[in-house]
Amino acid sequence: MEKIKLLHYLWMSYHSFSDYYQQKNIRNFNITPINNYLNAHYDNCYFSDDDYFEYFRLFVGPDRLAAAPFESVYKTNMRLTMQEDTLRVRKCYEKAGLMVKEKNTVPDDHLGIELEFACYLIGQIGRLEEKNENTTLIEQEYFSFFKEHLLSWVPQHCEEIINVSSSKSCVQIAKMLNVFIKKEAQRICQEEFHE
Amino acid sequence: MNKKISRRTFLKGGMATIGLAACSSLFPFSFDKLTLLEASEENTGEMTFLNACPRDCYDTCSIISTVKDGVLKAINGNPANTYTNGHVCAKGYSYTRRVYSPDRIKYPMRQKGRGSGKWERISWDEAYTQIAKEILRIKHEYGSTLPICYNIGTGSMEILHNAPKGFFASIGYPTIAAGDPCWPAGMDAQSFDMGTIYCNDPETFVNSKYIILWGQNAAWTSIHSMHFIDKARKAGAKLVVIDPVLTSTASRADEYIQIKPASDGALALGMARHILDKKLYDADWLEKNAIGTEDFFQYLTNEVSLEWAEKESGVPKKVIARLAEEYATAKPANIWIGYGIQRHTNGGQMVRSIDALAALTGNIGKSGGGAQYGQLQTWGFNYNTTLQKPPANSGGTKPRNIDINNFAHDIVATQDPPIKMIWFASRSAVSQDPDPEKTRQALKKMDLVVTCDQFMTPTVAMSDIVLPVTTFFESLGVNVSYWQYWLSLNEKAIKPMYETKDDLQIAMDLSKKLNELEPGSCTFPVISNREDWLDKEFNPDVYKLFGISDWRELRKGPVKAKTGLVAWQDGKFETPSKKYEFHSELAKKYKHPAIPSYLPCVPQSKKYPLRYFSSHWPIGTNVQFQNLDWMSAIQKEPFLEIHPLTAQKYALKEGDKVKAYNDIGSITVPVHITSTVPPDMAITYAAWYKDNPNLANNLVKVRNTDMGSMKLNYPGTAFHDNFIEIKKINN
Repeated sequence: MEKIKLLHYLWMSYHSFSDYYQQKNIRNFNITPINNYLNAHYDNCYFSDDDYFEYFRLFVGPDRLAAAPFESVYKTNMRLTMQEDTLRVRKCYEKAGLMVKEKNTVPDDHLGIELEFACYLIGQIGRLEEKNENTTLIEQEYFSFFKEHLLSWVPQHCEEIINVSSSKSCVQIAKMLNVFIKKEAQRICQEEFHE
Repeated sequence: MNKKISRRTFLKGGMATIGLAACSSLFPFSFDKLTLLEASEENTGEMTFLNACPRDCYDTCSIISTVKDGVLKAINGNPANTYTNGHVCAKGYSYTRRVYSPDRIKYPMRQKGRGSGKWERISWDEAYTQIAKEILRIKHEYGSTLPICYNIGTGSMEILHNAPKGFFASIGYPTIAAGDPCWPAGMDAQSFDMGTIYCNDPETFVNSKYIILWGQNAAWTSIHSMHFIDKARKAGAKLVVIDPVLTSTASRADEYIQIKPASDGALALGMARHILDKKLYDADWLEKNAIGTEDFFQYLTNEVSLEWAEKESGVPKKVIARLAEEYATAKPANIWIGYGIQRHTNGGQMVRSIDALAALTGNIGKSGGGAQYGQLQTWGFNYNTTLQKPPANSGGTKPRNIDINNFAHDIVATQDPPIKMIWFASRSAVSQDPDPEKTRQALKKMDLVVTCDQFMTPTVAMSDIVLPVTTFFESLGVNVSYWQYWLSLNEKAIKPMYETKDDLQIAMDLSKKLNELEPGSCTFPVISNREDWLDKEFNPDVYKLFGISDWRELRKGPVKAKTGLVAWQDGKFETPSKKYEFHSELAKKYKHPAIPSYLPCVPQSKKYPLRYFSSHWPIGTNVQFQNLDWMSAIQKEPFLEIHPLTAQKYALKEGDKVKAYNDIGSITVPVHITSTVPPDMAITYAAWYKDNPNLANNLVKVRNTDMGSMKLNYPGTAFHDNFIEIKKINN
């Protein structure tokens, strides 16, 4: 039961962060739910006008992205998507029987999609757990995706936002994402140690 | 090789878990960007596609693109095009960095306050609705669509990209930013002389015994031509480069002649005088093919001497004489006139004077001879996208032109009715116009500014709405060149990234939206099959020229024009007299001297002692490429090239920062000290460096070339007639 609770907390967190990066309802974005899930002590706040425009400046455009949310941008100094790093992520999705809906029109390694994938894997674990089935294999897939991908660049991405952004809300979300990823990294480390 | 994934295997896993989700679970399925993997119709193996680079460039490379699993992997020159010859340039090789840049404009976006930097994403429907409503509002308020002005450049020269011009013709009578910043003066000059611009197939450079590249830096701006020039040289041809600057091409020449800027007319006339004196002209050719020869000879005798030519051009008279003799006796001899020459207030006259040399010596109409400038022979398409009729109830009677080279002034000064809305495509006016700040200020006065672009240029920064457009890999089209003689298909190699659309798609979508809001307000047809659009561009003449019966044959590869590869070979000039006109009544009609005459350039400024050139260089094309990380790694900021004597005069070391200024504006940039630049000049390279306010055109005045209004409505801009002072900046 504890495990289900933990998985649910992870699932909801991934879901919220994924929605955020997928530009869902940014105009009225409210970080309270994420705040609650993390049991964090950040100020609750709605996106102001400035936060809203800052979101696009950081992640969408039309100018050079202040904090480009693509794994490949952090993995090489080429500032280019759809190269080897993007395709490595694509292979992870394929291995799990998934693909990006708008394949080849949106880079597979966009953070919103990587977070959605992590959410999916957690969901798979959770659904198996609910049926009391063995979760080892899928958990390994999740751990491996987390370490090779999310953990390898998301903290850097969060640091970048913290450094370049003037928006309290955007910085706050970046901090929360950073904390979330690092805590999850610790948890996974312990899980693997105990196995 | 197809890699088909078994649908059953993966769906089995998926279905089972979906089944569970039907019962309540704490972990319901919710797919947004991800979906179940399908056995795709798409080929996941490696495929190749045919493409063509649509940039405003002589070379218009035919390209083979390699795509794997829907991702563009590599680009290479198509060896089937013997001009492209299997390779592209550095800019071409950098294309994946444009297509897949994370900084590409991905979605329609709206700015809250022009120039504020506060952008939000909007849907295409929202963008179309806002634009359409504004068009209709303007139409109803002013009784016509004349307050709507489009400013479209040559950012893409693919044929279907003319669509926005057709769109604005299909909503009423628009205002058009007419004219051309680039080549009008030389175009008029060649048209007065011969009827139109028409160059030999550049692959025939191999037949030349003598080649003069006059103000032409092919090693940087038309690299494929160098191959053919080099072949001619291997067979014994002499290459002479005439240029105020010791360019890369000049450094490879057999002889480099450094000339005073804007005095090329004097040099050409001096050579002509010597050819006359030594009777080295081709009397037979002139008898048969030219009129006004006697008038021209009279002018040369009365007004031109070697001494005078030396004084004006700075080229020693012995050299002028020798050059003239070498040129006149080499059979055939070729002159390539660069566009830089005619970007002066006397540019048109200079081109006429140089053309005259080719005519005098009977080199026109000969393979390996001629006076090359460009050609429009291969551009005989229907331009069907532009052939739209205004709706029945349109106010006004015809479109209205304003001067693209005086855009900032004209969009504010024009009245009855005033201009309220601007549409930009294939251009960045706020960077490429002379005096960009003036353009920026003028745009502030508009009600709506819409720009279609791939990247955040200074023009996008001054827009209300930006519409993200595709690269040429992402839509079907067809390309020709204004220099070489090939026709290339441009296939859709990959899906458009994000929500990008091409100009034709935007025109059709906007048409649909307008007609939704007000039926009959737009006649632009909505035809979803892109091949139908291409069908409508071709006609029997184009097919005959290229020896094909259907453009679909281009899927086998690019094809070359079958005839007309040697300009004026049949002697059928397109002038009123049907001959080469030394004496042109048409020139007189346009208020120019009837014969090629010396016209001095604007005098050197006393206040601003350095003549300023903003030349083209190999890793950028106007506003394109330099913003990419790869290019900016080579050169990350603009710089000013000055001679060591100039450096000494201003106490400057390599890399020192200067403020270069004149009455128009200023730039603050480091200097690069080089003897390739004359002591009385300073050069920067025209490129847009991302976020750098030091635009090359900050120092460029709105000033006309002498010619241009016959063929292109307005004169060109005298880009190279600007003068600056520099001041050392201490850190």
